[in-house]
Amino acid sequence: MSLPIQSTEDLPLLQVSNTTKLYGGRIGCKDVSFDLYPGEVLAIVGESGSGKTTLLNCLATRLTPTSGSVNYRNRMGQMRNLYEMSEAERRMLMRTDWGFVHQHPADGLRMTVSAGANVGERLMAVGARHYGNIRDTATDWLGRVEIAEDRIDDDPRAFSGGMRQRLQIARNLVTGPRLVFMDEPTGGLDVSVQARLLDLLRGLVADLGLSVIIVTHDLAVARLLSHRILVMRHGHVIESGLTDQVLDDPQESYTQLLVSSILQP
Amino acid sequence: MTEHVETQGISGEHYNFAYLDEQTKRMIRRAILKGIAIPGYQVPFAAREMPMPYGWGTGGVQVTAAVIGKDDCLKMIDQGSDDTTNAVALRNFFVETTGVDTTTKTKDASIIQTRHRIPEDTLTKDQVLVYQVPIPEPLRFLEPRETETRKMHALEEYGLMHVKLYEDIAKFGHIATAYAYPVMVQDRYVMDPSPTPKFDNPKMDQMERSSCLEQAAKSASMPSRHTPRW
Repeated sequence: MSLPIQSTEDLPLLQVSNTTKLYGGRIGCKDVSFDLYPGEVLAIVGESGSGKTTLLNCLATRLTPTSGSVNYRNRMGQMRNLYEMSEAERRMLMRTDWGFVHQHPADGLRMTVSAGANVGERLMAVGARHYGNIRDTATDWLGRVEIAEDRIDDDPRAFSGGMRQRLQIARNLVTGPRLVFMDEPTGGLDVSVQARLLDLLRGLVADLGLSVIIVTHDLAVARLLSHRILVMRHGHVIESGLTDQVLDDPQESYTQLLVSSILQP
Repeated sequence: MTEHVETQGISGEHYNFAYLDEQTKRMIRRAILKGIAIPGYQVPFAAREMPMPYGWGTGGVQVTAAVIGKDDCLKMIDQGSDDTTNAVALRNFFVETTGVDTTTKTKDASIIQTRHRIPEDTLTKDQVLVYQVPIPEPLRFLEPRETETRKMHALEEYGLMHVKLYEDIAKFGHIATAYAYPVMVQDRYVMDPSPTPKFDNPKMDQMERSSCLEQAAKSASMPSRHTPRW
């Protein structure tokens, strides 16, 4: 008897089980497990040093976990363990199916080549060779992240912090990824720029149906962008659930402390 | 044990033949053989301190020293000419340490060490061309990490190379790279024959001779004899 064919929409995109990263005797993150579904935005929150970025790097193959497994459903619908794939396959994922938005745009951009080339790089990496087409796509994406068309040939060095961050987002989204990792994407930006960036991100995520894992220490960012939330402390996930539920009715005392620490204007 | 051949220079100093010790020469020859076996791949070798500053041809001199023999006839080119200061100095270095014949005629030379130009005359299979290459890594200016560029070569990730071409068209309206123009060897490895001008690149294709591209302390990268395609 064969099972009825299920749409992959209903199946998890990423399955994380017991992921642990130890730095010698110290815990980076320990026994983290969760599933991420297509179109879902998951926020990982916690104070500085709680293991958020370590976990993100383990998921994004930037850091090999000490134990546990991370499985990803590829476009063919197969579930693959990331750490059993070949390096070539992992890097192919990184530049097609995935995006990684760094906290500091200089880490995610090539600062010495123009904005157009920054956006076009991923296209060229997957075989695009027609200059006109690459440029048209780059122009389109700069427009979508609200960067003026006439800045296409400028270096990111000539851009403000907010513009660099938007350029980094365009560069990541140009190949139509299915999963984007973000590490404090609004860190270091002033509040009005933060608000516009968040608005932009929310629009793009909804329009493109992206799955996102976003690391932030800013609970307001988590509330605005995410559907679900993981609260981390000392490398452990201490509370998880729907964002509104966790933030409005925190159960753990540490989460209560975090929520009550938000400055009231 | 390797045979040590001593040479007495014009100045009266005694040198091992071609300045380098025999073990070093063997190490460099092994790198050259590996380079010939994997066309376009950069084979690292451990450069020795030479009696001239880095950037003045120390790597090329070591490759020449590793392949030169008593019966060779050496031609030395720098800036496309035999009579520039550096060409004269390097030629005299080999006269002093090996006592070989030298020439300015391409036809008569068995080893030609060159910076910039590839001789106009068609070379034969008995001739060796040694290029002095300051930066054999074509990805270097786009990706500064050696660990990363090695991975990119291994996985044939050359999308980044096209970013450079895109930049040229965006900034100048055409591909403005006039030297250090990257070449793909046998549809596999991309390498950089800098500082050879772009118009000399086609001469490297399908060459009869064998040639060694070097960089001090870094690599011997070889489009070997009868390279099918660049």
